[in-house]
Amino acid sequence: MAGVDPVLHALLCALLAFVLLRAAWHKGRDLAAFRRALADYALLPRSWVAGAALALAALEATTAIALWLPATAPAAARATGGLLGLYSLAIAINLARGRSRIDCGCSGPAGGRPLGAALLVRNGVLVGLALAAAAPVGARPLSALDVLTLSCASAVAALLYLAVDLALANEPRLRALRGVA
Amino acid sequence: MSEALLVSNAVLWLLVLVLSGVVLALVRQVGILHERVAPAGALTLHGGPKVGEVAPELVLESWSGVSLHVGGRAEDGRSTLLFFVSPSCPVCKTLLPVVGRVVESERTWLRAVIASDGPREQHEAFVASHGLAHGDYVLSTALGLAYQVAKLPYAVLVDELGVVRASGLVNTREHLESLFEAKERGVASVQEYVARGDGRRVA
Repeated sequence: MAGVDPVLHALLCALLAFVLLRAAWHKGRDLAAFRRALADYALLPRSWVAGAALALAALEATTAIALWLPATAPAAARATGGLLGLYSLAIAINLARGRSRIDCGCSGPAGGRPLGAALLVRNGVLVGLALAAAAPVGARPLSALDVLTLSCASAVAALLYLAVDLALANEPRLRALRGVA
Repeated sequence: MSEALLVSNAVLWLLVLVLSGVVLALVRQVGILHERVAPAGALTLHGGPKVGEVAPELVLESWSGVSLHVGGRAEDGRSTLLFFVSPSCPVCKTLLPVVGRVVESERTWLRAVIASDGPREQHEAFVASHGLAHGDYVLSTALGLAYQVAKLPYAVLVDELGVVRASGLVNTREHLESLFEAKERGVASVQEYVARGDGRRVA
């Protein structure tokens, strides 16, 4: 059997699509907040920020949908990896500049989350998953058990991603509470 | 045998699913607890003039070039709210309109001085987008140093006699109002009011 198991591939695609859709949903719900966050990164000329914010949200949504279609999935997985790599680069540049107190623009309008190494690790893991999803898929006949595995595993992966993301968002608050922030 | 494995597999998935749901719910609850536990009053930090001490007297130049007295006895008998901000601080941006409204409604006894520091050109866009050009916006490193401002947005309330009455990190309208409350009640901070002199710093 050559390539990644189809169930594993579908699971990776489902998780990445969930991550992207959630990000696009947050951005679309409060585009003004995302524009402010993007401007705070201080990487783009001011006149580009509004357009770039809309383009990023649209790109995330389209990539998420493309991940679901077998024909476009490998390309979409590479695009996901590229997009997340780009975000990581933007975060790393601002961390290097010492501007860690700006909002990352990644946890929705409600949570103003500062930049940090944890975000880079999270994005690194997601980029790894995206690369795995872009690898060639092997073929094997699927059974009813695979359907069960895929549906349950996708739901568990999405729930755990939300939990990890929330835990990461809580971490700076915990530090602030301890008085070391 | 294979039927037993199938059943076991299905049951395990079900349990894992429920377990991840529980984990998510727990993390959410931790988040909500953090929101409740966070200090309700402006957090007082160490350094700078203490409450009850005379505020350093400075003459500064505002954004529009008008000379501005900070500290000392106020000629118009009003207190001064020093609000320290920076163009790179997101919370400052959301709080500026709030500060504007609060000071407007309290203008009989209060005036606001918005303070920041750094090169003027970095502030052009910030001043324009928040309509600060005609208000009392000052760029002064000396002012920030005098109050030893380490975290933003930071606010200091100086009364009409030039005495510091309250100061602290402000992240919400409630924090800001806690400074006025502290002045009214004659305590250094809401934390002190809550702790009532057991000397414990809430941080």
